[in-house]
Amino acid sequence: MTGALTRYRVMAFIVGTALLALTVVVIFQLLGFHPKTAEAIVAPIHGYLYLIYLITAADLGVRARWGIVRFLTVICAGFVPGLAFYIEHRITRQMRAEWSAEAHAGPKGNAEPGPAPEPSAGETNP
Amino acid sequence: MARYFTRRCLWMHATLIVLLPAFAWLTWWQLSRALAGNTLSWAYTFEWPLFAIYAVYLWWQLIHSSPDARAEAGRTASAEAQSKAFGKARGAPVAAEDLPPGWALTGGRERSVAVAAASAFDPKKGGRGERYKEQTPEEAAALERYNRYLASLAEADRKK
Repeated sequence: MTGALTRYRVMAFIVGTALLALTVVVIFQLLGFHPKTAEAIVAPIHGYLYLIYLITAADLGVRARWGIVRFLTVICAGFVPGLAFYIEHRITRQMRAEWSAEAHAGPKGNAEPGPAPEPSAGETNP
Repeated sequence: MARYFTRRCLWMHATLIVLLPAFAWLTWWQLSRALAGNTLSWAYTFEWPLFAIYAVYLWWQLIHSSPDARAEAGRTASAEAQSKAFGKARGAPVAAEDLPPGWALTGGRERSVAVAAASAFDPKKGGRGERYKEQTPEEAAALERYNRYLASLAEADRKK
């Protein structure tokens, strides 16, 4: 599962960068310049990298059983300039927190918790 | 059958019903632009159908996963991980139902708390203060087993 996260992170970084390049090209167009070759190269490259990004995101999302909102956020992050970097950071943080919580959580209905330890005593330990 | 008609699923069906014709139209639009001589449009002519396949794939995955199933899978995985960890500390595999009482307590807490609980155990008192005065021999034995387990965890932690 950490492999899926790494693949998603790599693609998020690549697509985020490609999208920034595409944004620069579009800004040039809006300013009246028409870098035809740049547009013809950058636009489809982003388009197909985005497709690979979507596949890595789906792979991670299906394994980690994401909800709809998280899928939509990640899908949008691929075509809103700059958003990919922030969402990638947030997803990584969330996934690590959720995996460590799942590895530590007890099973359903652990009715007998045993003696309650002193919380203050625990804090004194390194 | 009813599982495909929950509020959540109906929203996903509606989204797919809107997206698929939209993607089909975008494909047709890019194809007509490509045939009119715009070479860049060829790239998008093939991309929109792939997006449509992706939408169908995600729709299929999402209607077959529910937030409840997600939580259940997490619990099962963690129970397995806990029983494996306990077996490792004992040097032999332990089935989930043979785990000592309270074994799950250490799961959600820091190891340092477990160390504190093990060191606070006083066999003369049978625990800490009033709370364990009336415990049965079985309970006392279970508590002792539990505390030995905590101590073994603490020991394993110190060795790391």
